[in-house]
Amino acid sequence: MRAGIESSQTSTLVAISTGTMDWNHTGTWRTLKPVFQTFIPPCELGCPTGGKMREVAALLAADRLREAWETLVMNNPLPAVCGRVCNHPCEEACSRKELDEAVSLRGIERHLGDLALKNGWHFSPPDQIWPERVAIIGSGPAGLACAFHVRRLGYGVTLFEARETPGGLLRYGIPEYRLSRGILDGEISHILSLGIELQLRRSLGQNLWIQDLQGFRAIFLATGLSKSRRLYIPGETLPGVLSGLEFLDTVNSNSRPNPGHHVVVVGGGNTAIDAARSALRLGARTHVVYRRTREEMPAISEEVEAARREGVEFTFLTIPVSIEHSQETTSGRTSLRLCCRRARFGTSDAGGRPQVFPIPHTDFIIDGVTSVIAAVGEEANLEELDLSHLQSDGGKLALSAEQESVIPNLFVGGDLASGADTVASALASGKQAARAIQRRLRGLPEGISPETPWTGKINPDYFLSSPRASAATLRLSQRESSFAEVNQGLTHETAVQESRRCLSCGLCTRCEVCWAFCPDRAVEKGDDEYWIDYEHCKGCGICAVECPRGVIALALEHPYAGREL
Amino acid sequence: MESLKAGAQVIEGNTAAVIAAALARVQVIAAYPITPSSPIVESLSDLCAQGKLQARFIPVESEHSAMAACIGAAMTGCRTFTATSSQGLALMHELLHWSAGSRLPIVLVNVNRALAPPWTIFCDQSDAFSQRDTGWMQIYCETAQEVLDSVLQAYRISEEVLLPCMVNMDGFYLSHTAEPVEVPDPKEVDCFLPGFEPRFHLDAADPHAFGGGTAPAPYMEFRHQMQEAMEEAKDRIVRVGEEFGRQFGRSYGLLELYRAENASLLVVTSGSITGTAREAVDGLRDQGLAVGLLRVRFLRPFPAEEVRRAVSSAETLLVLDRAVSYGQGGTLAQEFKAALYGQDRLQIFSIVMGLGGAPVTRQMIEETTLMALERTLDPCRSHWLGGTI
Repeated sequence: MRAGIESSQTSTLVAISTGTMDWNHTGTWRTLKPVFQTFIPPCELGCPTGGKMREVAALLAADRLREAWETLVMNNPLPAVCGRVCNHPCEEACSRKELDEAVSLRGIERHLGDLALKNGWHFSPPDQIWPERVAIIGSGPAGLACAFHVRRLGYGVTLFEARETPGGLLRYGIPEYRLSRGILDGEISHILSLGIELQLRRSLGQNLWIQDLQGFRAIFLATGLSKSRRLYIPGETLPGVLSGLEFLDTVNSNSRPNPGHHVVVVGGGNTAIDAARSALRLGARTHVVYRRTREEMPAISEEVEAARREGVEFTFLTIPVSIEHSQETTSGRTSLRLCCRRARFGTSDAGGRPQVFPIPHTDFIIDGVTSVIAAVGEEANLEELDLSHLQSDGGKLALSAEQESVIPNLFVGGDLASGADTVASALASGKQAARAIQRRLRGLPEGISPETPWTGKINPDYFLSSPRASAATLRLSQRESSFAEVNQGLTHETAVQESRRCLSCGLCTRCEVCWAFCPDRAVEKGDDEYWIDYEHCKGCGICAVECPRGVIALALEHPYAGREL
Repeated sequence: MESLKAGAQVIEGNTAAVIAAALARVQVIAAYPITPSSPIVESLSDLCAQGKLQARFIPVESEHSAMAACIGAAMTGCRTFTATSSQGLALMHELLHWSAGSRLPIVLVNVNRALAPPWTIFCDQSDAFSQRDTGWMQIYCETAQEVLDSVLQAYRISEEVLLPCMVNMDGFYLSHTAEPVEVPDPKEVDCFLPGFEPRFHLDAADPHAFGGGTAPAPYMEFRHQMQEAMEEAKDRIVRVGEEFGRQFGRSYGLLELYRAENASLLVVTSGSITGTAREAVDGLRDQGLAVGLLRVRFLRPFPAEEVRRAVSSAETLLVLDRAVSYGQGGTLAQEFKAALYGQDRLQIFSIVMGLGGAPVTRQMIEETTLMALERTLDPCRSHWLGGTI
């Protein structure tokens, strides 16, 4: 008999093996095959720029700070900025929410961005330099991201900016209490120091024309949305009625305007909340009027909550009907009366948002208003930019899947391409355009990602609950008249602590659970990776079920391969 | 541990089991609580948690896992203990076979409780009797003192013959009633029961698989060794029981006889019915009837030879079973009939009584004994007595 079976010797009391059973290839019994795989985690799938937050968190947890930052900026050159203003879809997707709370990925991003600025870490220069130059029009988040990525791919870049300082919406749209100008300047100069030519006060349609950019092999256009949507109600041209963008632009241009003592902001997006909180800091009692409810507000939830805590009042399900001069005058200032009507929800529209209908005979007056700020959205002003020829029949920009316009090698990105969207989406469009330009100029094929999106689940049995670290915030009393940053960021200790909360979805951490559970000892441990001994794995699937972070996929074996599990 | 103080104490049967486990210096306890044995598990878990007992308590989610954990622990050479009852013991069934086949000297205290349905927590011995073929030795105790003493002896015997041992006490009758118990001095117990020296055990430095696939011929051999170990155990039980007597003043054997001299009828009992039966025997002797008592202490190994010697002068056996094997009758009666096959002068009557905690009174035993003496019972079947029958 072969070794392993011949286990009894009459001198023993129990069957004790004298050899191994390795000769018995139990793997031939298998109908299910477990496969170790590295999956794209939900945070990365959630991030428009594809930020590798799982890897960043692991590096931070291992105190490899510089590498963590370098991994972060592979996809996003503005971590300190994004770490402050991003709507963090990564956190919305975080698996940790099933356990307790999402990892504070935005806090980690900000911390690493700030560390880089503090320590003077710089981007590595391009590996090779190509002769072609690329023109980028607009230095907002999309333009900056595109400039960074295109430059890192080795092309010459000229960045055109209409204003006297670069930054676009980051500078003229977002108030300082959310994004300190020192941080913004620091990260922009990081990008420019890669060797990017910046031309200021070059405004498309005024002193800059597409047809003059013949020397550039590709153009990326990201001038944002400059036209505020109107309210379309009587009285909206009265003095004291202004748009959100207009108001924020003034606030952010270091000329502190005086909106008076009672400001009503109409709208529910980030512009509305930014305008309301700015007005509050300028000494006004501030009121936000929104046609839907808090649930439907497109603004970042934390910002809405901060506004509420700071004392901004909210009136929901309310539609402005007209604006008139008021009889009241306060401190020599004429004021306005805003007539509003209550609204109710109807059925949802195609996007899932409930439609709003005014309720007759529910009009009411908000009187003694010194400023009405209309922040009901922005749109592109293609005529002003002399871009009318890029429109399709519907009046929108006609763009390919690669964001290319009807003019070859003219790519469009940011809000100009997408309508009002997030900073993260703008950064992503800049990155995508850079890749499209690279493919166009170098003819390189589309890279095939070897990784598949994670559809697994974390196994909560293996994780202890640990509370999410929160950043210190400026005291409410200090916010009344100051534009100092409200969010103080995580400390180094709390940022590291947060990074350790990352569950590493879809990436093996060599935790040994599969190895310990395998009843056939068919999981093999190497120094850097685990693999499965398919000669002996019976395909019981215990490893896949137990794996804390879902890195083991089960596939059907031949002859069942290809069928649904 | 307060109760570990040597000397006389008034304690319940469950407490006696706890003290015995502590005196035996068990190293691993894995158990799942079930009435009426829960107090054993709870107390031991407490003692471990408080550090008063230097043992590892493994909490588990079922009795099946409890025995599995005991098997794992015992495989490493640890002295291992568990306690259970009724459904819990039934759930362990598969692993009772495994532990015996693995030749692991695990000691289990089973507090006898009837099996459901209908749901009951009260006593009978069907739970343990139905595990008689698993390869476990089985002791049935009459008193809390015997529980304490038997656990200590069980480790000695088990570790010598390498078979596990189940120490049984009747639920509530013994487990939850207090009586004076002499707690031996721990140092003396250490002399009687030194640490376990396993003859084989799991060793990471010398890895082997135990109990793996085995061909038919060696399988037979292993099983035959178990049978031989059971036979060998009979001699060890007697020797260990005598040694225990010399050291602690209380001797034990495979079975016990009471007023059996020249008895023409022997009442056969196991467990706590014995006390009642002693009184019945006393009463009948007072009436001048030649009646005695035979208490079975070990069901496995079954002391067939000792039984044959004990009944050599008797003409009638009245076997009282607090258990039944459906389709056959009283379990103990079958054991006696099998052991006494061919002794045609003997009439063996089987009584099934006290199931599910039904009362067994002195009067019931006396009346049945008289019927047996008069031979008015049917020897071909079991008679059911008590309850609403």
